[in-house]
Amino acid sequence: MPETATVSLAEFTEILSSSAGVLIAPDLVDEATTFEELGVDSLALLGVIPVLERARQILLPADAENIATVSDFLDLVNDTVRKAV
Amino acid sequence: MTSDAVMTSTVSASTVSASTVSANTGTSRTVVTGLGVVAPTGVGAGGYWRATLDGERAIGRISRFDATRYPVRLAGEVRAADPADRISPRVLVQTDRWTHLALLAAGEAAAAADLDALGKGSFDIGVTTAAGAGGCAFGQREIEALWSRGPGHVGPYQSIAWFYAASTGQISIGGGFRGPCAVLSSEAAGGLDAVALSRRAIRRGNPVQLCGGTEAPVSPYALVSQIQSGLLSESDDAASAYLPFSGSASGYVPAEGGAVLVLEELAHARERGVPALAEITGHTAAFTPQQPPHREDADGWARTSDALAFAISGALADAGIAPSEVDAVFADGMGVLNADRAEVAALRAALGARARDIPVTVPKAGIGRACSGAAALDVAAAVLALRDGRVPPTPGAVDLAHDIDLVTGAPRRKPLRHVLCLARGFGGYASALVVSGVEGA
Repeated sequence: MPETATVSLAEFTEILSSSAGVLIAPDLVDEATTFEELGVDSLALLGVIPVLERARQILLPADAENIATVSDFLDLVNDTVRKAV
Repeated sequence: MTSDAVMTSTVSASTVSASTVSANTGTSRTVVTGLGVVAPTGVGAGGYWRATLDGERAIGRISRFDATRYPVRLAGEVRAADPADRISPRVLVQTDRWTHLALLAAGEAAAAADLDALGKGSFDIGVTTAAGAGGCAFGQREIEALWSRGPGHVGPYQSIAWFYAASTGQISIGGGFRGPCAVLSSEAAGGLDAVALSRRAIRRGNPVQLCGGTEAPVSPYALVSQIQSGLLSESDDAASAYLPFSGSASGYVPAEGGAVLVLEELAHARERGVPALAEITGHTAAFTPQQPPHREDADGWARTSDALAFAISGALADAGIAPSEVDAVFADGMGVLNADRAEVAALRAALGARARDIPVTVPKAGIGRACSGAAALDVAAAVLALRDGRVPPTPGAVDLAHDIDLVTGAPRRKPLRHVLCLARGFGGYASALVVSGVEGA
């Protein structure tokens, strides 16, 4: 039974830490925070995407790693989760 | 950001002038202005040198994985420092241990040479490393994931962690060194060849180069690759497994580690008031087209001495010194009887009868052969030997089977002007480097 819960910011920062070695305090992330200012490049996101996809049994669209803000990226992930139900 | 770049290029323009002039007039001299070391006997040049003078040994049972089913179970491992303590997690996850060690060594060397003073993002500082096994442990892990779980489980960093240039690249990126960068691979001769390649860059007008090599070949795949050479010792006794020039020699032991040196054009170093520790005065690389198929092939190994003799003679000619001016030799010291014979024959051919009286040493007997890192460690030791007038001993040496003056026990105190470093890489590589003292630098 696929996991239907959406991905929280806390869970996302945990995944970023373990797969990209990027440590981010969730409370320092807001609507406008970009991956670039966090030091997360597209290569790092390419590593995170399969982890998220497997965790929620979803498939994210191509170019997801080029999304600029954390907020937009998580929105895309969670929209995809909700549609997959 | 823009004004910093302008600042950097302004500083670069003025400091490059002295070395460009000397490069153009052919008076360029390449000196060592910084050292960084990661060795099984110590992390940090000071600790490594003290341990080397004391003839310490750090060969032990392989701990990186369970090697009980392998014919080779010993290695020299770097245990004195954990890269995770000193390297950011972001860089750690995208690099192999081999690059972690390179970053540690490069950091120490850069600090010792005060490269910060040249500004971050300097085009005056380049990087040249030698690599052998590359990111073997990282790569093995990703390949295991590929075959056991599928392509979706291979991470995005495999391509940049595994390949030979990773250490050069990460040192360059981490340090902001935007000068000419390169990587080369000549197996265990790489440590000397990287120094020589850097010297070429300096002669062309690039005033500062970080160079050297590190290796972390203690993973299942890397160990199996090395075992294929047929030259590794299968002894389980750490004290006697690796005995260069001994009648009891049984092969060599693999090792992690290496060194990074800062090479700098002498005028450039003087202009910014950084002391020169030694000078790189000569180098030649040669090659034997056929690697002897096994250690017992006496004729095959005897034929390899020609290339090494050629390299020695060439390096001396490059340095402009006579054989009589060689004060000490840091030998390749493979610890395989026929290979040791060939090395002694090469020394005899290139240096004459005097070869039997020049102090010869193999500090790597205490730590193992760290492939691309081995000769870099020897060059670091040669620099410190020149500084202190001491030739370090060959740890654990017993039963000397060759007509050479092998330094054993206590370090040999002797004024040193020119030190010869030798290295042979599997496949036929043979290189020689002359490191000399610098007068009044």
